[in-house]
Amino acid sequence: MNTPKPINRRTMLKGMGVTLALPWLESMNVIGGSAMAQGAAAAGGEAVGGLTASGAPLRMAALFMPNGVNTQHWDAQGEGDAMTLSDTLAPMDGIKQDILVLKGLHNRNAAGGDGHYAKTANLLSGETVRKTKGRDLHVGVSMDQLIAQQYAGQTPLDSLVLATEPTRGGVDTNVGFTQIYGGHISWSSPTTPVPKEIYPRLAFDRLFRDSTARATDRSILDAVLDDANRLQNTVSTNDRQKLGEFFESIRAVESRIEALEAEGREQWTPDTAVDPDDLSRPAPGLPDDATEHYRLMLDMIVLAFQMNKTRVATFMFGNSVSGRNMSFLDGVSGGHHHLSHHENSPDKLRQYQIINRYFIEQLAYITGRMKAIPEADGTLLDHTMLLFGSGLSDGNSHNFRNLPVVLAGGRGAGVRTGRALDCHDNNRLCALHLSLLQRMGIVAEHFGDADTPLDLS
Amino acid sequence: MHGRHRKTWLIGGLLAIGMVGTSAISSLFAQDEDAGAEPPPDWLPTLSDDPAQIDFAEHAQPILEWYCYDCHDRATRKGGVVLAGIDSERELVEHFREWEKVLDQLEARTMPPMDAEQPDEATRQRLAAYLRHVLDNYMPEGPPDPGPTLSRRLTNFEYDNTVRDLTGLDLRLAAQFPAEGGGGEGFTNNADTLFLSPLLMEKYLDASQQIVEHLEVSFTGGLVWHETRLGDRGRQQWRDAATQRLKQYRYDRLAELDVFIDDADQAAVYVPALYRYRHAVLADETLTIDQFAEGESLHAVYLHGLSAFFAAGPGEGDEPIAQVVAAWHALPEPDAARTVAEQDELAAPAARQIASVLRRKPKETARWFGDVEDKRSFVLQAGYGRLERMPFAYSDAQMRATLDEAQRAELQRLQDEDWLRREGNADHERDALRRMIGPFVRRAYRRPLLEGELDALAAFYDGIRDASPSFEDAVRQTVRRVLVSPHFLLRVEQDRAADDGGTSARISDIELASRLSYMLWASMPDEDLLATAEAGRLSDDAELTRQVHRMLADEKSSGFAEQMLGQWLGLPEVARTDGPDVEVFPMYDTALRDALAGEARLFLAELVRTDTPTLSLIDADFTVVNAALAEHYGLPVALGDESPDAWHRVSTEGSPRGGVLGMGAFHLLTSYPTRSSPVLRGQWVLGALLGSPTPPPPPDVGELPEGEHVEGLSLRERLSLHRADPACAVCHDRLDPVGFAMQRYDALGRWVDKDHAGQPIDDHGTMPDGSELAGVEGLRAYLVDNKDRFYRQIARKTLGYALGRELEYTDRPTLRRLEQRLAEDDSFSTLLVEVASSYPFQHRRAPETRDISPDEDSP
Repeated sequence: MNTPKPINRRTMLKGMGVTLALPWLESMNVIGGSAMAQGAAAAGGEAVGGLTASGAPLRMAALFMPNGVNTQHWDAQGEGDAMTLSDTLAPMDGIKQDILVLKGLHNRNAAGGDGHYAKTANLLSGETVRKTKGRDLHVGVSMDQLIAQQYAGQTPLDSLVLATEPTRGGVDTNVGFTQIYGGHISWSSPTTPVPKEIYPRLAFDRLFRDSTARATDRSILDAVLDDANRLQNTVSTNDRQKLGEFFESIRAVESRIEALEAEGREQWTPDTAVDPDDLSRPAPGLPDDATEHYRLMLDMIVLAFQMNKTRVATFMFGNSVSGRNMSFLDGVSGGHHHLSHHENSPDKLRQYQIINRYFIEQLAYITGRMKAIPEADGTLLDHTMLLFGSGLSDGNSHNFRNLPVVLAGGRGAGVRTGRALDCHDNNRLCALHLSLLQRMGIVAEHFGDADTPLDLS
Repeated sequence: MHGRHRKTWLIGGLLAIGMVGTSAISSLFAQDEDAGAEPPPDWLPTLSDDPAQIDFAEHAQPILEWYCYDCHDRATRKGGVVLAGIDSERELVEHFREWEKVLDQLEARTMPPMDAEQPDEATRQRLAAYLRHVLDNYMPEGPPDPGPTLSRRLTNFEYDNTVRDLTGLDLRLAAQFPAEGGGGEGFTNNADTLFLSPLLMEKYLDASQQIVEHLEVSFTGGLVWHETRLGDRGRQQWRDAATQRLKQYRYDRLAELDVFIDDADQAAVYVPALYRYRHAVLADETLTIDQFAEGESLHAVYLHGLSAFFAAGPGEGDEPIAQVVAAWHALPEPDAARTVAEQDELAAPAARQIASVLRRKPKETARWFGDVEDKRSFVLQAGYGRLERMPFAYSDAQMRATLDEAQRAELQRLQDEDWLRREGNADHERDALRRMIGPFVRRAYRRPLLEGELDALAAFYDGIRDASPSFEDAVRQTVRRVLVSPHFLLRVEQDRAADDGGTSARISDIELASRLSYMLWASMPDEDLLATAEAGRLSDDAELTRQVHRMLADEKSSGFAEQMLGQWLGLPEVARTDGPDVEVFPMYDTALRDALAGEARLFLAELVRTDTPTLSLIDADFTVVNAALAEHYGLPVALGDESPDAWHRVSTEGSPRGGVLGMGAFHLLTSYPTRSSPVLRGQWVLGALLGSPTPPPPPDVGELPEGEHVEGLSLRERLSLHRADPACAVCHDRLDPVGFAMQRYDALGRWVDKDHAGQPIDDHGTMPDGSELAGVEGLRAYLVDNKDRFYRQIARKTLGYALGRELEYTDRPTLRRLEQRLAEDDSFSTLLVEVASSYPFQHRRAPETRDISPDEDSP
């Protein structure tokens, strides 16, 4: 990589733009062998084995917005050109043919517990969040991590887990939940949150990690694995479990190094080879400007998918209960969580809605970016299922029914977009997850509380 | 079991009989019909005023059943609290955390709720006294149990501190690591929630590389850490570094020699001498300046310098230098026929002229001579320019004569180092590796090396040496291997068989040293502590006490302040807030935020380091401010240094500051972006400081009344309307008066007369027990009066932090002991000596011991 130079996001994008015009090389289109690609085509546009009909890999990203929405302004009706979007969703108007607004979904296992933690950590797992101060966390494996595990080792990163706010420390003593729950929607095991990257530069570096000079790393990992093995014989059973994490981490890093070494030799390679030297590393630290921060992180997802660095990503705009001061928005004066408890005050409801709409603008941004990147016979957006949602509908009452959920993209996987879908017949959030998982090539008959996938076609 | 049913039957007669079994409906009836104050039935026991005389099943349970079970039985579980089903004192203490909350509510008169039947005052007081008596006096049966102890990795904070104390470099690399959540008693060091993810492992690998790039590997000096990043170095660069070090050392020593101070005096001797030398080489071409100088008992280095000075000539604009050099060059060419006397006679006028110019040095030629205080000779500086060749002109033999013993040894070491690096011998290298890695590993692993450990490290080194670009690199990679070893990253204790007759074992002195240092410093043991532990003396009570006092007085005790006090109270968090709305508070900026965070951090560290009473958190008579903060607070103090980094401990007599309640960090954290919040402040005081948190409002309540009829009302008035709802009043009767007492602090912590609507502030509040809180002073006095609750809370937090886990009922004896000791002497050192000496701190469960921690769920 070139000498690092702090640079703003626009310059980085300019660098990316260089590569966008490169033509698709059909010869590279060989993932899973041509038979599989034909199979995909034969399935009538449905994804097979996590492939899109065009043979490009299917990706998935989930974007979490904290603190729910003003439900009075969240709605969509109709389909096609006749599709109408309410004020909060209006920023998607220009790209509405690529979105599916899912209405009436319900995360049943978010009932009980508290108003936020029990409705956040399980957004992608659909299981009940166990109330604990930390001794026995339990959330279930999130669907993004099932995908990550399915494709582990096939891309340099199993998954990309991003956020903008660090997990808050300690226990929320008012409700007796560890705040870890409020900071994680990705769980690699029922009890283990996946750490998230909040610094744009570090996320960027992870994408472009130099795979040379790693020879010693292998020797070091072997040696410390040895240390851990010896240690295991001298410690208690409980401690052995803790050491188990150490083993797993070592092995995961080893396999990542292997994947890096194998990079460029995988079956499917993006033809739009992005040259890292054309990109500029984001500046260190956290951007002062919230929008800049959100967009940089969203750019990382686009970049990672474009370069086939991973198949799955998650992003949290903020932690659950985030009190981020949203006064940078015109007409808003106050913190996000505080305003979400609008107490039916017209003024707070108005501000709440402005905040909601602002996050939809960010969704419109990443959706537009993906649509602008040609890939195979379509665009990156066609090969990506981009899920946006919150664990609450009305934030004031901590309502977890009728969740605000939008699915963008995924046409290459047979998602019929450009409409609002009332899910009253199969209203479980996990039914949506199950449907997405199956499209991603996960052989699953049920997920969470759902046995029937939501029909998205 | 069905207290309310029984009562309903008593009151409602036949109608209610049909309702038995549907508790929700019967409750409704009960509420309707209980609206009038009905005396309790006469069969309800009367409690003794001596708690020891009360029997749970016979006396206490019927009362709980009567007043509490309606809402808190298994079916109704109001607020998630189930009290029914507890049938003995033993079961009660097994759920001591829940019962402490019951006790709090009972004492605060917030339960039973206002719309329910209330016990009379005596019953309430005696029941509370009894519950406290049980909780405080119940001793778990059987041998003492230290509770579960889990291995855990270092926290990010501990990682940074440990690297700092291991290398002397404060690199703060963990800023790149994933943020930690936390749990247990609320700390990031809680073992259960310290995950070691693949991402973190990658970051450990990266960080270890960043660390070793500061490392110089020296045959004679071992591992030498440099503030500056040396980066990857090739073999040649590594060698050159040794040569450069040697040169620099010689130069520095020369620069110290007084002989060079006054060039003018030297000129009278050395100018003629140099002229004589030019004659002498005519006779003997091989004669060196060194030999000549030695023969004449002169300093060769100065003679060399002078020669180079004249040879180099003046630079542009060097007027006086030009005169000096011209005077020298005006001397006649050497002639073998001249006698020494003739030579000196010729040179004397030039020497005088040169001396006279040089003598003007301090005044007139300061421009060229630079800093006249510089002890280094001007001639040497000017003559040698960069002085690079000069040290070699001065023979080491001559130099040694001017050095003291230590300096001679150092010179020798540098020469050896230089030679060894040039030599490049595999055996030297392997010997050096073994010599230097051992002491490093002992510190990194916080224990003596195990048998075979050094060999294993040497084998690792051998395995990578050939592929490494240099010896230095191979050693660095060996150091990296240590820095990602579980022995470094994890805190692991040996499993051992139970001590005689028990189910747990005492940990070793070495393990105790780490527990102690990570508690007090959030870092590794220092040499004093580790050596004491290795000598087996740390388990001695007097020695342990000495160490705690010593460690608290060390600056590093800020680790405890920042991690334990900081995370408990949450005040340093203010550094991460994005602050209030600047349209409402235009004077707010990040400098103010940082100053508020700085005050909190430094105040807490000061309390611990100076070993104040723990109660000083509430009633300290000082704080720590920089100039900007003193102005912000309006403190009438004169501070010498105005820089934001200059902090001053100042008295807070006569001001509303002092203790955490007067801190802007607290006020800002408990405010909304546009205004301060008495409710959030009340929650913080009751929850964080006193350990009786209030639950969040149920979803259908908690709304401040809006609309025409409340417009124009102050926040205080609106909150009091709100308290008319009994469901709100349960908590707000406690929260609001506490918050109101602090209403004169605005969201930025300024002391104000009027609220944001311009209304005068009434900062009085009345607690449910009738206590009047007159402003913040009244609140402080109230808290000091109720210090037992504060002691209980700080004891619990400290023990939970020290053990890195959630507390168990088996910790009750320890907590009780801590509370008792605090009541006698509440200094930080007493608290921490007591924790360090406690059973769970010094023991761990033996392998056979079943995990007997109670079920977290309600009974």
